[in-house]
Amino acid sequence: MTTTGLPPHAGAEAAVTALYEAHALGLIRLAVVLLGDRASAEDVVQDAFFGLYRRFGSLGQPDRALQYVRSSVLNGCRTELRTRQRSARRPLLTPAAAVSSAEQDVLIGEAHREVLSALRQLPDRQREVLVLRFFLDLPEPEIARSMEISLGTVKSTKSRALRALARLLGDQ
Amino acid sequence: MMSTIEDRLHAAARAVADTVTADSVPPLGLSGGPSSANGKPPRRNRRGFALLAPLAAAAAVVAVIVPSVALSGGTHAQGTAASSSASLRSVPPYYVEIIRSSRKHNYSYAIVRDTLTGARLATIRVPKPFKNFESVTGAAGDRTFVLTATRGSFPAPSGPAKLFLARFNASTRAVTLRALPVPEITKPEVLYGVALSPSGTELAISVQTSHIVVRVSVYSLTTGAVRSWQHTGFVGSGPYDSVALSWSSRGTLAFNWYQPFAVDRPASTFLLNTATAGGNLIARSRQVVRWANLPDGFGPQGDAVVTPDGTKIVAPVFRATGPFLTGVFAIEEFSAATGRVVRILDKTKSDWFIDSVEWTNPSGSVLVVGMPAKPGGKAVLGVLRGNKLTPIPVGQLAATPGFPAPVASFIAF
Repeated sequence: MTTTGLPPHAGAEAAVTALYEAHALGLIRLAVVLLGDRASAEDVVQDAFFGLYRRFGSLGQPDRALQYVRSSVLNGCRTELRTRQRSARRPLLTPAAAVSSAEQDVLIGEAHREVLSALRQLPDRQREVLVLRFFLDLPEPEIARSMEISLGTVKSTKSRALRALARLLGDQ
Repeated sequence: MMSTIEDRLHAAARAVADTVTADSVPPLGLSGGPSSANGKPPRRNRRGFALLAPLAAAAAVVAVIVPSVALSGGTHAQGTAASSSASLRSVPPYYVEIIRSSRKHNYSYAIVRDTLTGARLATIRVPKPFKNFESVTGAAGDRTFVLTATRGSFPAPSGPAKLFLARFNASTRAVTLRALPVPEITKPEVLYGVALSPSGTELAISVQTSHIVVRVSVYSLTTGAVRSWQHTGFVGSGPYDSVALSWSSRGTLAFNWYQPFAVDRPASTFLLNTATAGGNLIARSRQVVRWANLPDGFGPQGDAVVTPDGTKIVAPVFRATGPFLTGVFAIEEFSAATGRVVRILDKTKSDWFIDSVEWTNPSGSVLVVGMPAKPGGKAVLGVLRGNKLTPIPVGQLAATPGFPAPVASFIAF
């Protein structure tokens, strides 16, 4: 079954647009950190909001739209990274976006690039916890809801992620 | 107390935040959807593909790679920062760049950039109910631009198309956008070229009225009067080709004319005297460079542009020097009076080459040129002065992964 052609929920466009205007900036930054290039980040965020728009009428709790879209961005980033990994094994099919944007890199200093590079080497869950905590400044309970994991898992994952990051950066 | 690693994470977060600013967030596109383009890059126009195929073959067989151009700031850097800066200061201080989603979404917008730094100065949103900006062209007054907006969904280059005049106020960084008094171009007609006169008072457009007939019209933006010239064939190398037409300050309009059903190269470059009454496009124009009678493998790789002083025609040209399309690429200047070559710039056998002239100063001694993106790479826009190319800071010109970016449609000075 496809949802293409179904009329969106009344008022969905205004609600989703308002949500986008309030939160797109932070989510694009988050996706840039996870993916390393701006164009892919914008696409993932657009995808997430478009998905929200399509499903707006069937959302059980519309007040949790932000949480939904945040989860979608994380999922979208995971999918994009996996696509890149697969494409990297088939070089002829590697999309351009798989290469970190040179423009983006130039704008970020060497020390920060090192941190971002190390961050991208972490396992998905560890990376996402750190990004949500340090780049979106989300409190841990909110991270738990966005990632749909327990608060205890957030705390332990964050702790492990910080240790792993320190190792990668040679701080330990 | 916060640990060092957390400090570093916070600092990196601030650095990323600095690169993604609030004014750079694209508008939300809800009209198309993630799979509207199936993740495929937008297609170049059909004539663009026709040109690209032999060029790709040429690139593959060129054996000697000897770029003769000095690329400031690049691996062949020879110029100093000061000379690069001087080059960048010798062209208009602002340009407009159309930004489109890299792969999937039906959104686009335009931004005004500082030529020297590439900094974003203003954002221009597509006016509703239109959905996309398809092309942009500039005028000699360096802060007036014409944007083509379409109702059609990206990436299909289809009408209806409406023209808007954008004026950039450098002191307030505001852009005013108003619809031009030119009728919307609707099917079956397709807009090819747009050019605003140096004075900003006249607008020339070329429209394919059918598969074999082209109409060039000049609109007075002050009185609304219009004159039109028509002929079989094509003007411009595809829909929304923003340098298909170019003006001189003498009121002549340069264009490449393609014969019907001949898509490999134009037959000739003509100069239309726009002071004449409308009528037969070719009869009212003067043929300057006749490409059709030249040997195979020789021809312009992009649109020919007249210098504002009206004395020269500038075009990116490929000249075959051997079998299998081996040869050299160059920017060539022709006398507008005699059609003879008067200067050759940027002669190169490299596998990537300048394929468009976006802007020229009055005499043609300083050019803004475009090199399409290598597959997966970035398009290059640069100032060509003498034989030295200085890259201009650009944004998202690599918006079509895997395909050369049609620079000319997306940038205007």
